[in-house]
Amino acid sequence: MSLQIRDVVAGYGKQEILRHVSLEVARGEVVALAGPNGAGKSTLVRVISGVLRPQRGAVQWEGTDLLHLPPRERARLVAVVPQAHHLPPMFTVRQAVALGRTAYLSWLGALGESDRAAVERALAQTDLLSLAERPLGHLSGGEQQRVLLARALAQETPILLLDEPTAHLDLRHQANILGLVRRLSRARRMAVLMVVHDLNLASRFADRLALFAEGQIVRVGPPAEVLTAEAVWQVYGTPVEIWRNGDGRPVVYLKPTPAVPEPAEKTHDPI
Amino acid sequence: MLVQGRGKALPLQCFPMHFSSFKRALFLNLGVLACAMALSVAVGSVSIPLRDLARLLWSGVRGTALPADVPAFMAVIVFKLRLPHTALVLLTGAALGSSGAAYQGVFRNPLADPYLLGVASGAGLGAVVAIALQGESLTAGGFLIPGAAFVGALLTVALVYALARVDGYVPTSTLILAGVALGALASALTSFLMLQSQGTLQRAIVYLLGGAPLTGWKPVVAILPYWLVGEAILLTSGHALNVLQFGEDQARQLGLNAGQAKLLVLGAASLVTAAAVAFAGIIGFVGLVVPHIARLLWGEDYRRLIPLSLLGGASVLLLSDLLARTLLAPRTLPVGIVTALFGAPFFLWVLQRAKK
Repeated sequence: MSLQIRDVVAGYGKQEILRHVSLEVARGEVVALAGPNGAGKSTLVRVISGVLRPQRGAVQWEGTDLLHLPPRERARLVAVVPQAHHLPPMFTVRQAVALGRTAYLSWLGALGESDRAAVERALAQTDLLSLAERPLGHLSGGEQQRVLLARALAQETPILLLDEPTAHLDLRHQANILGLVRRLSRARRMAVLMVVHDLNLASRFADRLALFAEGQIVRVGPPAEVLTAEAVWQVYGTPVEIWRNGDGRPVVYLKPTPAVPEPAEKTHDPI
Repeated sequence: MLVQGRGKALPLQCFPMHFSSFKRALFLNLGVLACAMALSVAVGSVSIPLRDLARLLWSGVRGTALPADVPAFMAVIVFKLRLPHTALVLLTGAALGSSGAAYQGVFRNPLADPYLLGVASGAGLGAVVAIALQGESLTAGGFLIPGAAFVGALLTVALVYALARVDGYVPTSTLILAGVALGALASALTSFLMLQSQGTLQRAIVYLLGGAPLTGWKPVVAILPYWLVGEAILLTSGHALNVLQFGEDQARQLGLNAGQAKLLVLGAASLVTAAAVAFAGIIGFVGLVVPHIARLLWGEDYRRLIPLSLLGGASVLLLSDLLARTLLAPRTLPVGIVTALFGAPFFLWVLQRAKK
């Protein structure tokens, strides 16, 4: 009962970004994807959600081949929460969340009773009922991110992918959204895969953490096992200290980098 | 009156259009359209009094004999000249308005217009080829020129689509590039052909600016099937266009077959535009300005925007055509010149208001 990603190779044009990536995510589990920029985390999300065709590999959900499904069928299994960039400002919250039902609607897009109920549920779960008639252009970044999460929840899928859902959010919203995602993952038995830049957020909210480097997963497991000073140094090239907090989860603390003299370089004087 | 929202200026209508206000908008547009139609039939080199016009139409609808005290020539003017002309202008304006809204929706760009993928330049090329092939014959050529324009428009769009294909997808960025490139090529070929002979040049210019000089119901009947099919698709594509406003990636992730939806909508929009342009010539601004104004007034929900732009486009073109016929009476200005002369400053005025 899980999402199985096997040996995926994907990239843009001739460039290979993902190299033989394999991963399994179970229902009710939150797996965080972390790693440096360009390591392939967002690319993996794009492959699973059907936006990028991989050159090789398979992605299966409980036996169904996700890669070769038509968009409508795939959208009933996989929902994506992208980053809140350039949302059309005139749509209201309710209109935007209702678009999450697209995979269940006809060409005309008329909402049925079950669709409306799903939208209301999603708005309630993300605490957006009081903002339902506001245009997106009137919302803060955190509120817009919640709208995208509500839209994905309205899709009622067993798999949820989040691409940096907390970028540009303040601390309170980061905690709110990720806490909500974890609770919903348990309650709805969803397999959740989320790309997070902040290692401490990943440590706090994820069941397992997959560390990416140069298109491959170098370590995967519970945060306490994966986040070691050696692993962070290997992947990020940055010295850190790992502390343990009360519940055993690792906290990553950036060590002050000692002053290293610049290597002597012959520079040409600009004219 | 604008509302500042987080630094983004929102237009006049910043709350969702509830059903009641959509109904109001619809009735307003229908009312304006009815007035425009009445004026269009009544006004001209012979002025038909509105009372007589109403009685003529009423007897026509009921199929009874014409009222005795209305001069017979008025009946001829109304039924054989004015009504078909009004119908043609209405269909043309409606096509330009609705397809302009559709193009703006697919390209997510308020500067898009129905000629973006080469409909206008393709139509021009088709028409000029037909004119050139006709030789020095002085006859209008009947349906050859509009037919060639129609075919030229659709072939150009099809070619643009084929050229823009990348890895099985047709991204909007390559569509625009291909449209611009092929449009320029078609225009160049058109100019070349026009310069080949004096006769071709004159007739081509007349056609491009003002359309085919055909009267009666035949042009209306000719474009009606294409208009109906295309508009049926456009009027129902509001939901798909709404989904596309979040970008193609998100649209696919939400379950829309974005490629098919774009093809369907652009195909329908190009079809109605080609049909409109075939007989009316290249009329600018309507497809750009009408959806824009509709968006400023009534918001961006494409399920509402397409029908409102359809009605708005029809009204605007009817009024422009009226002005074209009356401004320099008894001469008739090409409608395209009127739409440009009034469209541009009006649009600038709306923009100035929106900025405050």
